[in-house]
Amino acid sequence: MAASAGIYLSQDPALPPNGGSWQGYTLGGLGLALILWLAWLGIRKRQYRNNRGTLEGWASAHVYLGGIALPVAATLHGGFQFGLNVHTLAYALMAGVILSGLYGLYTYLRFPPLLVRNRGDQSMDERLAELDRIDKEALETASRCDESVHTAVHSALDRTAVGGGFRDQLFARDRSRVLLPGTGKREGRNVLVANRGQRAVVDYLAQRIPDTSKHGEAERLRELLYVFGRRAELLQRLRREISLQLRMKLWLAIHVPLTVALLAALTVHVVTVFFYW
Amino acid sequence: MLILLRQIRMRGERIVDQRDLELDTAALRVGSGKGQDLQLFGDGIGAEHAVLRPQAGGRLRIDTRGGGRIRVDGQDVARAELAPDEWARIGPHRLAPVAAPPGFDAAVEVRIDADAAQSIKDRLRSELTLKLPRVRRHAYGLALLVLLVGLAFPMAGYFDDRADATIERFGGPTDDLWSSGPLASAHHVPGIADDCNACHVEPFKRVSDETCIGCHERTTVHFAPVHPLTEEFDGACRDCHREHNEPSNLIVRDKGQCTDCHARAMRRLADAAPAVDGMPVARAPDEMRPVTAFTAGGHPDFLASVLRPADDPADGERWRVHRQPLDGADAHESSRLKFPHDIHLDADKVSLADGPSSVDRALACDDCHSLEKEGEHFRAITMEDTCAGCHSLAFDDAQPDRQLPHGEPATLRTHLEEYYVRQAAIQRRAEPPRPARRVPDEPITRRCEGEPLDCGREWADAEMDKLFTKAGCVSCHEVERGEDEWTVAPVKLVRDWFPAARFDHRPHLNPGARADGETCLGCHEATASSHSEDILMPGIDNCVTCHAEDRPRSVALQCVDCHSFHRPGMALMGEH
Amino acid sequence: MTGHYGIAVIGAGPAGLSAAGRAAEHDAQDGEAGHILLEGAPHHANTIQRYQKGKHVMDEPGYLDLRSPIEFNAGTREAILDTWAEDIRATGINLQCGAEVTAIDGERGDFTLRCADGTEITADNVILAIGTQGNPRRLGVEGDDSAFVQYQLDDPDEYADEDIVVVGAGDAAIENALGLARQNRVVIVNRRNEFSRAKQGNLDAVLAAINDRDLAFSCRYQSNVKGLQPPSAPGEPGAIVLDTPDGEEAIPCHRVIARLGSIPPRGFLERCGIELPNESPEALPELDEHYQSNVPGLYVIGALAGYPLIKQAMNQGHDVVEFIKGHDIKPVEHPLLQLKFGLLPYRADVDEILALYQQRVPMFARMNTLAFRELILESEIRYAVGDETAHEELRERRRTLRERRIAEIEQARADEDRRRSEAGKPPKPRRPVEEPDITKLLRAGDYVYRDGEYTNTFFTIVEGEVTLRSDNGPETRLTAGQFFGEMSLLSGRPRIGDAVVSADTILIETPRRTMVKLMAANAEVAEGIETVFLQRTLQQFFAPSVSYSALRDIARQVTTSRFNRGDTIYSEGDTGDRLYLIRSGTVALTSRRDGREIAVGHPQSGQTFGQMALMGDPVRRESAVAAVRTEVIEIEREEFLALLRKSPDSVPQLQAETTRQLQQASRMEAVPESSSVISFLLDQGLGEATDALVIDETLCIGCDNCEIACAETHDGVSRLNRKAGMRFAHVNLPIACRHCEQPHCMKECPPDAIHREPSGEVFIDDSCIGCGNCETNCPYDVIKMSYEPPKKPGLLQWLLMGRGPGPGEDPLAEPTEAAQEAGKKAVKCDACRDRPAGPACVQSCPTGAAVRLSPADFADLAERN
Repeated sequence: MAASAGIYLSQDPALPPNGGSWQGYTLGGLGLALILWLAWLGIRKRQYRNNRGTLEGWASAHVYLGGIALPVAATLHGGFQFGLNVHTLAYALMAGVILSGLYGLYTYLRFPPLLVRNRGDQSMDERLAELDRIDKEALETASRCDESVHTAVHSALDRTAVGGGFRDQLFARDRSRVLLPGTGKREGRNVLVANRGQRAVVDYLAQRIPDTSKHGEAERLRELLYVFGRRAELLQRLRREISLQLRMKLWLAIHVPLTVALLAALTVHVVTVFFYW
Repeated sequence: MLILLRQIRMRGERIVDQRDLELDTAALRVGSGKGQDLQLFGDGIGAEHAVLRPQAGGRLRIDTRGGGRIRVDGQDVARAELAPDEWARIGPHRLAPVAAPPGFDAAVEVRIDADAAQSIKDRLRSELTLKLPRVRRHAYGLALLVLLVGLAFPMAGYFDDRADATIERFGGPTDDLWSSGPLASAHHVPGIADDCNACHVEPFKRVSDETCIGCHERTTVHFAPVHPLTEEFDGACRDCHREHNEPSNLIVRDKGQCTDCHARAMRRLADAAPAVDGMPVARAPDEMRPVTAFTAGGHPDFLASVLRPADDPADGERWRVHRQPLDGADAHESSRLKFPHDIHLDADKVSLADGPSSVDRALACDDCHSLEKEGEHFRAITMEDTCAGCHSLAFDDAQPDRQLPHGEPATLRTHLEEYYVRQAAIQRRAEPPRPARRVPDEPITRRCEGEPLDCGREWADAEMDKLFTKAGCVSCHEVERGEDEWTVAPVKLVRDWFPAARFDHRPHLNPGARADGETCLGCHEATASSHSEDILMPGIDNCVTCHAEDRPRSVALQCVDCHSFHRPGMALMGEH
Repeated sequence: MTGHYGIAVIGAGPAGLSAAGRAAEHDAQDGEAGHILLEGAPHHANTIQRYQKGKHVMDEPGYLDLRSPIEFNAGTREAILDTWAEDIRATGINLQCGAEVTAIDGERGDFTLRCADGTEITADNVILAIGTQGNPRRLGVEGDDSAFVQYQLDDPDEYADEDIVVVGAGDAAIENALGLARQNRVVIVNRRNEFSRAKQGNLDAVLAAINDRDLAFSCRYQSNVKGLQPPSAPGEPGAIVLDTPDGEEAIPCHRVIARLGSIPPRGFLERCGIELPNESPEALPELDEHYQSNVPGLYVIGALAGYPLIKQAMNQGHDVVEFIKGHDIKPVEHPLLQLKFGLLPYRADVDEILALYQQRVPMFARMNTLAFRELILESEIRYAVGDETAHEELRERRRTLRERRIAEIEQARADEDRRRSEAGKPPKPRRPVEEPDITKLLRAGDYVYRDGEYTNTFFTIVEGEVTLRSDNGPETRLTAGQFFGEMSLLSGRPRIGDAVVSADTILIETPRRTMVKLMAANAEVAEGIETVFLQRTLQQFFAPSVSYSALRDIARQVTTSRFNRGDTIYSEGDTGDRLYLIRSGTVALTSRRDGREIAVGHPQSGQTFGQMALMGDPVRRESAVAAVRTEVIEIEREEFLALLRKSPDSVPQLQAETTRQLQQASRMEAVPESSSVISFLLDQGLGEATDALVIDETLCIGCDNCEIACAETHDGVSRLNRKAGMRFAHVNLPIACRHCEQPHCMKECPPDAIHREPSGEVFIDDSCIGCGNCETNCPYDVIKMSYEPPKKPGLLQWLLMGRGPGPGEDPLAEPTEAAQEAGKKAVKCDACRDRPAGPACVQSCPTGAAVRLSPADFADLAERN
């Protein structure tokens, strides 16, 4: 890096710095080499038989060279001359790649601990299994309750949403809904209401408990109450897990295409520069 | 159409049971969700996983939905068309189109893994799978876009003009995108600014000198595309003239351009016949001393180009240019003019009554030397404009407005004779004869006793002798008595002491520029010069006091500041 | 079926068949019907019949040639059974199936064999080839021998939609029941009120199954089988009558499967008058070099004679008949022994050398010659030569011996093939000739083993001298008759100190499994090794300066005790009168701090704990619980003081160690979080780990590179499972091999395919036969059986075109025909023993979250954030 800075400054002040001087070519070559090497990580990290160096080492080198050395070398190569052309395009793409990479770094530092906290001592699979179990419980209990409760519970389970679409996953939105007996003018009809955090169905069950007559119904309802309480918790954590996982992987889905585009742009850059030499 | 759906539940390789299903539909929906025609559970099966469409010839088309995948001979694919009895895998299950029994339009056999059950993971599969963008697709998409816009279209335009025209019409990407920066303003002219190929003629070839010369040989006088007097010089226009490099003015002033070669001593080419103002250079060192920078050590001492008359008289009045050091034995010129600068600049000896308020003052440099517009050279010194103010050509006090002709010794004698013959004639006619008039510094009062013609001649002769031996011509010129007549050696002043260098006096004329407040005399030591032979040109040591590259707070000079490569209106560099 | 025979062979297993076959050949020559082969089961080779379909049967040991009229090559169960059936016909063996011999009496020339069906026959000689399996314990009610009752279940998937009652509460019963429950309605009958005998995994599984509403699986506790009602017609359901706490219950069912364990043949042998060396139910009879038991004329061969491998058994079958016929032939391994002794400076022949060695080594002196012969056969002879030229000569000699041997084998094979082709048989499939096992040469001063090596072979000195060096304490010189290496043998720990051999020394190096077998069979040997082990341990820890023989009396006083996982050794507040020295395993030390159990230490094998009791603080300040199955040496005050008297200079060292432990304890008490992490690790059985993979979740980005790398470096099958790992705080403990101190997987590996590198990695070599023992034996489920996965398209193809499943294990991969033919093999982590860069999982972790550690590093891991 210092070297590239030195080369840059060694340029004759009489002329604005530019990729055309020998210093320019040197820096350009350096930058190109760097980019190719950095992109090679995509291959290297999959060469599991490769015995040279730990991947950790490669990754950290990737971060340092890509985050610091490359921008310096490339910027100086461009000599701060920007314009509406393929060369600046390549530069912009590179900037994009680096920025996305830095964000990736941030996520890798930030999210794992959050995931740990979110998981507690239970893996996602375990949670799913538990969810499955208590769902079965709920159905089983509900089947012994009266019809309206049964439908409510059933619909609540059926219409539980964990992830949903991209945005839902990203922001851990809860789009669960539930079919509840309508009130007021919608009396007698079942209406579909939002069931964020299972609150709607919990409220419904809670209201039901006081005016139960059937023997053991109250107990069953309380059972259900508990189940939905637990569900809410499980689902919430599941959503968070998904959202964190997504965030942690998403950046790569930007980083990589940009990198490939950058490689293409570099080809264009080099070809054209020498095509119109 | 009527489809026979044969579902065989298998456990390992053993068949558990089998049941046939008749469906009258064109498209069979497969998935783990409710209401699918064929409900399959297991890892990797979406709620609505795929649609099967029997095709002609017993083939079966499968289109997956919601990013689901089927596996055909080891490959995960989104859609496939199966030949009869070709098996595809959906999750843990396998299916294939089979020969349709009579009465059916098609038949599909499904081998269902009986152990695969609906797990919560499958139930929530679509929700749990991270909705990540398709990396590979986007990558290729972007890359393709870049290549098209950046390379393909412009390239097409380059090779095919009609394509270029069309692209341009639709505002598509042209090779403008390839420009690495705006052109120098000089080149903002139609035909160049709007057409890359005006200069970039051949792909992968750097812009050639021919291209530049094509326009430029007519634009500047003395434009010389190649470096003078060398052959091995392989430089090209582009070495110094960088385009697409705003805000620079085209020219690379980097001294490296020169010193790369000139840092070592060089010999002049043998056949080089330099000349200054048409005068041949007689003595020029055939070796060029090395130059590394404009410093005391890095630049050779200046060689002044002084004029000397040709040595052998055979050459007549021919002058030669001698290039020689400013100090040393023969560090003198020979313009054949007698002019002591010290006396002229000494107020006690020479003073000038200035204007009507006749206050006497000493002469100043610019009383004689007046700078030309270009700021380097001075207007030529002539008798009439410069000296005559003091040195009058009158020879007879009685008639001060009678002037001798200057610069024509041949006509001088006739001129005098005419005058004196007339004087004699007038004397003889005067009756009664006037008292003889006393003529200064003549022993006797001259009286014309004989013929006026003889008297006139005699008197003229005497006058000549006086002019060429006592005072007159001889005081400024070298004179000599030829076999029958006096002659004045011709005078030639050096106009350009350093023809290879440019020097602009104007910025240097600021008195504040020097400690002693001097302007001219600070560099040209005229007050100390008693002979006109003295060369009053300062040497490099004088320049580097301000312009040494290696000194702090000094105005560094690049080569081209003095030695310009192309020099409009001047001799080619090196031709001296 | 009556009559008198020259030779009666009991048991139509490999040994029996071979013997009978040989006998039949003799009869054919002499033109008499002098032999009979009695088999209790309805068909020959019952054990092999019970193997699952298509199972690959090996013909280990490769170095041994087959000497038998019955043919045997490695191959599938079916192929082998067919050839044998064929050979039985061809050789004209007089095979009587379903004839279970219940009693033998009489002596040579006049034996009477009584069968279950009451018939009797007489014979001059009896050959027992009944194996060690014994007979399944029966229900003991009317009709328990009908087809309605099964004592064996080969493939649970054979049955679907049936009502099946499984009787028994052992692992076998549970596994069968669970397997059947997948597509049948199952009732499992347990005599007790809990499944106490079952492995933890099976226990959890069966309880889960019983509580699973969707599964037709129920259990009858405290129930005994009262009677059976076999089905009236095939296909019809019958019923089983149970005696349950709430009265009698008849459960209608299609079949009953009884897994009540088996009766070891011990009882039967004793009834035949055969003496057994010790009380263990697995004890094997002592035999002379002709396989003859203490009852003259009663011969024992095969597994029951201590030869579990098919080929050995068959060779014995051949030989024993020859002996009976009075031909004193050399056993087939004779040339092998010759080679083993090939370079030794003796003129004597094999048997003499064997005799010599046996009386040289006190421990072997009383061993039965056959057993000793076997031991030598499985051991290696090492010969250290001082003089360089002599060494060079011997090397040369070794080379020639080797070439000769190989030439012989090839010759023999050629001959046999010729004979076969003449007999019109196809040529035998052969494997390449193995390296002959010739005396191993050492130079004087060579290391037999070095400190810290994970080898566990056992060395006996028959000549010369070996020096044991360890950095604390003096050198110990061992001479002829003494042995060493027992420490690692018994504790499974790496070697302590170096063993250096001096000139003209001859060693017997015996592999661990052989020694273990021997110690199980021979109490005396076990005892002897045990004592020396104790002496050396005591010497090492308490009296380095004293020669270990001087500690004999003390060693006799101290007691060794075993604790199962979770057993309490002592608890906080007790008054203690002894210190403990861990022999194998790990102990979790916990102490109560304001109502919380806090781990304060986890001493591993080779460390002491509880010594404070003898150093001024008799009250236990912490509780000691066995974190894994642990063996400790208990040293009471008296012995302790005696030791210290013997070497007072070791006191400061002991105190230093104690101080260190106390410091660690206080450090852990200070940070309950980290100590709770440690208790978690110990709960997960990491106490016995030597090299476990642990993932720090705060660094883990879930890229799964560890798994993928594992799969990629181990032909496509990942040996670790990150997601399924147990999690606690920031620690994730993936399902991956921990390379236990004493690998559970190593025991019961028929082809001895599981080994340990000197550097400690436990790995499975290619000789795996896919029996699945290791899978069941591993308490941590880190071994899985899998097919060799098919080839995948190259990385770039996937990267660029997305072809193929990409790197890592492909869950949907279908094994190729060939792979299915070869069958599933056991796969497990080998810690990338052959990779210069070390374990791939760690190397390819981009964030350094994956680490491999041993109990010593727990503290550091726990103290990470």
